[in-house]
Amino acid sequence: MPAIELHQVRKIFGGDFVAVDDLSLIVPDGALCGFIGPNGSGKTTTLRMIMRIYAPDHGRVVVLGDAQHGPADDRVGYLPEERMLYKSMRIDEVLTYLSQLKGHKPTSAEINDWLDRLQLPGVAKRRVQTLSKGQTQKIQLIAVLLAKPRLVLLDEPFSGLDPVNADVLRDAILELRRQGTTVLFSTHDMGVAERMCDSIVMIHKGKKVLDGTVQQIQQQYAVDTVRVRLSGGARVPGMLRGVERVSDFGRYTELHLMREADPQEVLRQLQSAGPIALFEIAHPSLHDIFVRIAGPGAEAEASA
Amino acid sequence: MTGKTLVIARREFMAAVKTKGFIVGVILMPLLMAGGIIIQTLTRDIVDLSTKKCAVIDRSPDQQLSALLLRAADRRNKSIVDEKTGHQTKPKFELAVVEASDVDAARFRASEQIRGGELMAMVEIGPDVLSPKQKEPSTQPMALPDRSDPYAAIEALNDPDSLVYYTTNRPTYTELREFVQQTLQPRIVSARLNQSQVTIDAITQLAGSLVVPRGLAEKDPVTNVVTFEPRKNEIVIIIMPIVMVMLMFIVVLVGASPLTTNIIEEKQLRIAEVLLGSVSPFQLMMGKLLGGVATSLTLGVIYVSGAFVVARQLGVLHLLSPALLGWFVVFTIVASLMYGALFVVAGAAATNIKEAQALVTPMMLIVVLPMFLIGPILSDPHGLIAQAGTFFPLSAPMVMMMRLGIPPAPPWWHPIAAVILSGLMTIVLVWVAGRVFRAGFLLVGRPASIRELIGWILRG
Repeated sequence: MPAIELHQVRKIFGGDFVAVDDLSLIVPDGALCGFIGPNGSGKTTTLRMIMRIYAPDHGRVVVLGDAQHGPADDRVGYLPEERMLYKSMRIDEVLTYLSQLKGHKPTSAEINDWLDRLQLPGVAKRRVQTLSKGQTQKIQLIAVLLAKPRLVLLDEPFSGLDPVNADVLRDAILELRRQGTTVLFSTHDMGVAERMCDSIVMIHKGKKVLDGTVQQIQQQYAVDTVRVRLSGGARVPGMLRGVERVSDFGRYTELHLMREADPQEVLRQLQSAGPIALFEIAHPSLHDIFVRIAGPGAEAEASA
Repeated sequence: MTGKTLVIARREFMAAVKTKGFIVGVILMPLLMAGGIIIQTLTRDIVDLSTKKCAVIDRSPDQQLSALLLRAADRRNKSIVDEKTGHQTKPKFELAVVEASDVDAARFRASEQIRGGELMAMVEIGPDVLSPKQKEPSTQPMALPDRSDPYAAIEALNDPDSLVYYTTNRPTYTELREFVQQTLQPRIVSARLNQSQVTIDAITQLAGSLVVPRGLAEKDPVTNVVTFEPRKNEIVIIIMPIVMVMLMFIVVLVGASPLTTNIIEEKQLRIAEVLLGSVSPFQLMMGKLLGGVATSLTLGVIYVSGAFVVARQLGVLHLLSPALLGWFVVFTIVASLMYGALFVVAGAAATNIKEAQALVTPMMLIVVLPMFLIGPILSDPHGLIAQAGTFFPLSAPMVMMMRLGIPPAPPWWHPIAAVILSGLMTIVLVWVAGRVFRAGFLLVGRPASIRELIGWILRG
């Protein structure tokens, strides 16, 4: 049984703004799924519909086998994008409270264990208002995880975190996957999504535009990128036949080929520019794919 | 009621009772009571002791009444000195008989002295006070007394020369006028009765009030002797329901009014989204309402206990029957829940405090509305207005409380119906609040239109 099933889901606000349009999606049980898309693409609305905070105007949302409010709700943990806690409450109190609302009354040992795991030892009796933003974010994640959910939805969990705290959070998410918990998280960090996720779903303007493993997605955009480095650090010529765009990353240069361009022809042109240290036909990165779909030139390309 | 609702209610209650406002409220009650006693004790000895001067124009034949006044004032001035401490406890009255060959001149002179603050008052004793002239009986039908001037009727019945006039520009200081009244009235009445050879008892018998309230008759089933229920204290009958409804109003407002700001803050802080991920909007709103009501009832119990201690001290506690007290508790809880739910709806619909103020005003009017029905209900506790107020849920708790305080008791099912109707109204209001809250909790920055609100309620 999949953890999440969305069947032709649509959500309209204000009578005419289609936030999510005919979205169908399946997240298998135990998967770690990245949910990507530009700002305003409908990611948060989708997560809220999965959480049943919003009801879809059309379509069906099935979560852990339940198509409506029910016992399954307590097995779903949710970390919203805008995260706040009661500032004057003690940390152990707020964790107990939020956990109780999921039907689980945690022991002090459980709370302290999670605080230790997320590198917040000894803060249980402190007030929320004494914590830094990163620490508060980790407390919120603990609040989600304390109730031992089977499915965890995280809306931009890495936003605002420094690299150290981001690593702690990443380890916690990977640990969840190892334990068999299904995780769906939205992110703008394509590197994180590419490295961590079993599968990626991308929505743009409310519609699903990508769905699959990173490899499957990259294969859809295969062989249109060449990585090149000329000997002696020579600069790659900017004007090459069959090359649409050049991205200089310093250590190497990425050449984005035109549709039906022949990489061998590009190689021949480069050879005339000097000795070649690296020539690699590469899959496009998730970042590239994202920019192609949602970047400024995407619409023009689509219409062409 | 689910466990989650109670978890929310508990947190709301614990958060509320730890606030400065609640702690101040709890501490303030005994402080106010203690402060009142202390201020009373301290101010008991702080009284105006300045001598009150009064001119007496005595136009009676042998001026015996002014002499009586002077003697009485002298006795009084001696009696107001505390024997133990030797301190004066009240102001002295200094009366002086003024020459009155020209009455108008004397009146004007004394009036000027009153205006200038030299005199407190002027007393003018008419020449025929002790033996009034017989006034010709009027052939006109008796005019209704002027309610705005209670003394007009006295003047209409008596010749001006047979009255005692008291003139002052400080009518709120009544002690001197009462002294004059208490000194002269018995002597004047006694003299007039002697002349007419009628006793005071005869007059009371002839002209006194003859309609006396009596309790209902009841027959002893064994002896068949008919007796009457004890007479009820009319003032208590009128005052008790008013006091109880006012007390209910205060308790309701203490718990209900913070609910609006509480919910708006939750929306603004965006904690709501975390909570809505765990509970339904109805559970969230109900939990908040129960927490708020528990807070107000806690404060209410503290305040009402204080009131009972005071009532016991004053010896008036016996006037409150256990049944009435029980209904008071029930209807205070019902009223707190229902009116609290109204404020929850306001909080769910508003996006900021300023907007909430506009919504709270009509809610306050709804809470105050039953107060305007006190008059009609007191005069007819089973009339149309009383019955309509009982079966209209938004007024039922307060109207029913008034009716229960006024005999005869309403039919047994009326209070039960009022509780059920108000309870149902509470559930509907919380349901509405939940729908509005879920649809509008992300709407920060712009107010929802009436059309949007109705749409949220109907469609969710």
